[in-house]
Amino acid sequence: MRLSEVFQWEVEGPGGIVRQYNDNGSENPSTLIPEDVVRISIIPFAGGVLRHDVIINKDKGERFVKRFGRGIIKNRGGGYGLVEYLHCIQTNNYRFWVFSTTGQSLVTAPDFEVYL
Amino acid sequence: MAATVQIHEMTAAAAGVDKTSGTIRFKGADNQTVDTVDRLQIPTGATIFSYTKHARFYFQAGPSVDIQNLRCYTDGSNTFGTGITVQYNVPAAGLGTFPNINTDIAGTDLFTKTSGAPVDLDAINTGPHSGTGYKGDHIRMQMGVANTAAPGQLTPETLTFAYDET
Repeated sequence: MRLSEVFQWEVEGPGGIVRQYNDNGSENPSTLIPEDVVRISIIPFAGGVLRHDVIINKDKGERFVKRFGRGIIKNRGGGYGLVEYLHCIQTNNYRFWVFSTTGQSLVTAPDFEVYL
Repeated sequence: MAATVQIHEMTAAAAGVDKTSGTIRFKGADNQTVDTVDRLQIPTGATIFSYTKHARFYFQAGPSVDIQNLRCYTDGSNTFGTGITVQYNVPAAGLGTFPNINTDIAGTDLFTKTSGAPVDLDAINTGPHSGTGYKGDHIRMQMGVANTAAPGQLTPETLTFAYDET
């Protein structure tokens, strides 16, 4: 499995649950995620890593901003390839990062950039 | 599906050699072969320079929406040794207007560009980028060897590339 496909996103909002990949394999671009979602999850395609869930507390003024993936390419010894792929969920209060190689998570300020 | 992103060493403005299975070697000839010929000779006088090396992002498979924030950076530490430098710039028209040369490009020290202040590789060819093919800017790099350098093969340094995919 490619590193960039270890996880996929899933969101829950007033319109129900939407996943990045539908059962027929078609893809929903993350630009379609509405701002009023209440849960955003990074879920594994297969075992070995855990799922991560972010709950948006709109009553406290929190709101979803965007979701993106960050690819990190380095020379692996014999050539340049993807060595890490981070999934990031950004709200107005923080960024929540998930590392595809380990499944670990990290919370940073909303303007903080994670580069490895 | 997530994009498949490669790093290519460029031979023209929009043509290059895939470096998925190869490195980039600074040498005294204008080619992309990683071998031990055309070595840089330590000068007795003024600093000599390698032929320039251009690298660029290539999207073999495009993103579902777009890719932006193309960046590259070093670890900030030049371990090539005394008398050996690597400088860079980002020419506006890439290799189309700036062919590879082995004279001083008078660029910026590459090792000043770290994860905290990376090289912006979509400042000229601005994003968001979609579809396949060559995207973003060229980074043009060149090694300098002064007469204070020590002979021998160098331990490779790592240049890291990063991108954000939506």
